[in-house]
Amino acid sequence: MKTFFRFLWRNKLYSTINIVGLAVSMAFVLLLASYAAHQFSVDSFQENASRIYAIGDGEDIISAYYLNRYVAERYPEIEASAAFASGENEEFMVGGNKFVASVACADSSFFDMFSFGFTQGDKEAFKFSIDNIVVSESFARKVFPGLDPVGRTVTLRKYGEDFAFTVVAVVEDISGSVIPYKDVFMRGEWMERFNGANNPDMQNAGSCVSFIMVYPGMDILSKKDDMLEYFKEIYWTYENGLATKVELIPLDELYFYENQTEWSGLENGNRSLVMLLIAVCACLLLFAVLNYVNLTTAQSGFRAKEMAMRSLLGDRRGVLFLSMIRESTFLCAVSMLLAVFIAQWLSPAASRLIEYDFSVWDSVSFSSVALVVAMTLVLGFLAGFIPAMTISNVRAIDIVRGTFRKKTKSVYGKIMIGVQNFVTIAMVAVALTMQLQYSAVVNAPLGYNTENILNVRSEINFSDSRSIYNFRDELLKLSCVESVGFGYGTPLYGSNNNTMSYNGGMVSFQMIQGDSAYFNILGLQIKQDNHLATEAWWLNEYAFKELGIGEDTVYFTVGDDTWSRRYDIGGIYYDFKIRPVLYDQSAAMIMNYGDLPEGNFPWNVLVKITGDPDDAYRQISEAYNRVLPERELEASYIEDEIRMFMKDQQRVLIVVSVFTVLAIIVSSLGLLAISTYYVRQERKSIALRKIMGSSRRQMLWRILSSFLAIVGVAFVAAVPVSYWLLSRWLEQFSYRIGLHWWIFAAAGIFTAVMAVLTVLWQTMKAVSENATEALKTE
Amino acid sequence: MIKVTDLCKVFRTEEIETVALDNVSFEIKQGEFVAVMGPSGCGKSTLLNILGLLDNPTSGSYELLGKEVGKLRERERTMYRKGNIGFVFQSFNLIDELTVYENVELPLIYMKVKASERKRLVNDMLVRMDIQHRAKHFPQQLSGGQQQRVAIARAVVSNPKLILADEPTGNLDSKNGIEVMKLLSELNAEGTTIVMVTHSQRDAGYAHRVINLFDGKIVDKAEL
Repeated sequence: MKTFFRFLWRNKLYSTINIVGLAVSMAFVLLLASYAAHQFSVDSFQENASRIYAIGDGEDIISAYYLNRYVAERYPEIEASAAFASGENEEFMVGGNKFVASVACADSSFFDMFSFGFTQGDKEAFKFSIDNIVVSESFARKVFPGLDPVGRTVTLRKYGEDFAFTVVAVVEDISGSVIPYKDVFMRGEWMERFNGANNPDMQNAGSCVSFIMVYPGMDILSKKDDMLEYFKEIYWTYENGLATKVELIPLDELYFYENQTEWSGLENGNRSLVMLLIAVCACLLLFAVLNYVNLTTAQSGFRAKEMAMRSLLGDRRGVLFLSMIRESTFLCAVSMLLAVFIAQWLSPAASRLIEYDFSVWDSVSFSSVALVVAMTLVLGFLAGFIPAMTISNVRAIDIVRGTFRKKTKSVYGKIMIGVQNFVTIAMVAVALTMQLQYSAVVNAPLGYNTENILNVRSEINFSDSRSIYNFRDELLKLSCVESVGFGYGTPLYGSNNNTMSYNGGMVSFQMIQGDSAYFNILGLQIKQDNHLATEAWWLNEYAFKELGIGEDTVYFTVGDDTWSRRYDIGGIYYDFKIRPVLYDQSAAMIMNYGDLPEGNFPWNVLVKITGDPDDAYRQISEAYNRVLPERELEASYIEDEIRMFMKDQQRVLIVVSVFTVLAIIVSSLGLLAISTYYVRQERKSIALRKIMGSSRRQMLWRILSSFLAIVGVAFVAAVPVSYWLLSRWLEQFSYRIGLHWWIFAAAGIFTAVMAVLTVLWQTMKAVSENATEALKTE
Repeated sequence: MIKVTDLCKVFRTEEIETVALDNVSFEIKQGEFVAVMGPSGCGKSTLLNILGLLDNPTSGSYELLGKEVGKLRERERTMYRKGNIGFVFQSFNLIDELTVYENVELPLIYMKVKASERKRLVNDMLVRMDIQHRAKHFPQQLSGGQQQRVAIARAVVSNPKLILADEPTGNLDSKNGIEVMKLLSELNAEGTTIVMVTHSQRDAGYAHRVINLFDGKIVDKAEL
């Protein structure tokens, strides 16, 4: 090892590149391992995890409030059931103070099924009355500082009324579960109290998640077919053929279950993101290891003399092999140690990016340390294998003859340079394509205006119609407000849904309704106006495809044998995105009411502002308080809402951007080192040519052109490989970019430029060296 | 000590076949100092490589210390070479990352000599070669003559029965060259068999006899 340490010290550039390259990659692996371990252990603490299922229809896991009760009554295998609804923020009064709290509604058996820890009170008391609530530890600390919250009264203000609740227990802040953190848990019965559609007829089919828990050893999955037939009798979505499947998703699969939307309100893991992170880190690690293999094998020519001498003096090949493995393992261990510090330093930024609390020190345990040690040993072996094989195969006679150096120059050298460039080109092309794809998804045009539009939801901000119209009057006095519109939902949230019988099947429309100002603000584009004398619904382009009619059709009829209704078509709007960009397109029925007179209760107030959004919000908030002094405005800009929906994609985009930068850094380091090696090999040749009379320019051109030829070959090999990989990857996206030629050209040009710069620098150094000194040492 | 009978070495490539050694036969007794001479390309280094168990002959017999070693595998050659044969090269071939002391110590490590014993042997050898004051220096910090003395020390420290020297004074000035030859003569006087390849008549004069090679064949054996 002594010679190895001295070799590292003398070849600082090589040592630094290897150690830093490995350390950076390992740091990301450490961070990822911490994140992945958390992701894959969601709800692992639940005692009944193997017995709990969520009921889904294959497209989502939201269902009607009463469904879980009907299922529990029919199937004796079921021990308990509960509906869970993740609600909005609500306003509570506690001792004269106002608090906004996140609320969930859950049936009485919820806390029997799920193993959440309680710090105060009795969770059983949650069952005793629908006026009893459970609060979180954080909420209890905030609202009842220094006091025992059990037995205290909390008043909910909703729809202009006050509802009094009693705190009966305090639950630990929920984390690491599909159940999201909530400040307050109310009884599920309040869902029916606040929304009559959550009735025994199950009119509202999208109100909650229905959980069931079976007795130990019971097989409920075999009852799915029977359940489907049962649902066809009692549940209108199945009766009408809108839902055709029954899925029972085990709790331990629910976190990554893909057939669910954000409407379920549950924490949902993004398996694609986790897999992307795994792939990114694996790539980085692979590139770093490839760098190490390449550079060490390249450097082996300079250690050949030592190894051959050792062989000549009696060291066996196996011993030489093991000593090389030991050296690479040592290097990996040093890199790993450095990686731990890098990972800890990066933890705050990583935490913000992934919205997960990273801490390397907190992850230290016997098993994690053992895993890290094992990883170091495996990496050390993998990284050192090829160099060890190359060097230990040195024959003593080769050094006596000098044939080993020649072999390295002519064959291995070119291969290694080619491999380095191949990897760099492929890596840059992949990183660039991912960057473009995710950027396109995040910034995709939606077909309607999104900038500087504040969305004020009436349900949570107003109790009556008059205050909405008073609010509008106040807004129109503000200089920062251009226009105020009333509507029923927004395209982003899909608005209201109307599903009807049509041609023996069903057809579903999203109802986009509002006044003229609402439509002006959103900027929906009219394609065709049929100039009807009476008010009529307009359709978007996609609706015609769904209906199977041409755009020149002026009406369509819905219904079945028992009823029918004719809809005249007032005109056509160009398609605009309903729901976020990654959702499938929807058919829309659109009604511009012109003016919505007072007395209506529009769901949304859209405010088009001008100037600084933060300042505008402040002014709008003040205007709101002039109408409703005792309340606080809750509103968000549509851009922010979109950003929230695209949160995962944004995160992926940032991860990919980081990967791109790292990929460029790692590959640049590798190129720098390999070009150093290449020029070093040419040192004697440069010295001789200089003595023979070659000009500096001639020598530079000779070396650059031979190096660039290898880059060219690597480019030709890398393009089809990376094209194929990227084509396959892009197929998963419904909204995707094309694979443009310039992506590969950019990767090739970048690599060539890096190669030229590094070789140029090294060659200038070599050309400036004293020729006789170079020959002497060679 | 060494008995070579009808030794042949042929190098074959796709295009050409080169006969480096053509039915060479000779014997070298224990304690002899033999010089091998001949023009460039006559097969001197090839012969030395085979005698040093660095290469196998294409045909013929090579007995070393009474054992047929001409057909040994590489691993067996390495084992047999250890402790029995020492090498001195024209270009010294010291390991740049090791100090003088460590270079000399290396053969003893491979022979699994205990640390305390190694220390004694190495120090004795450094004193004998008059380079003990450079023990902690690296080869790049030494003159050519000093490097060659280190190489000889390394070759001899394990007390081998045979030393093979390939142009040991080729990179040295005459003064250092004479010093090196005197060292080899001293070692020979103590009983070590030496086979030396050389172009130098002066150096050959230190040998008991000369084997002349020409085009792979022995053309003359002269006793001095």
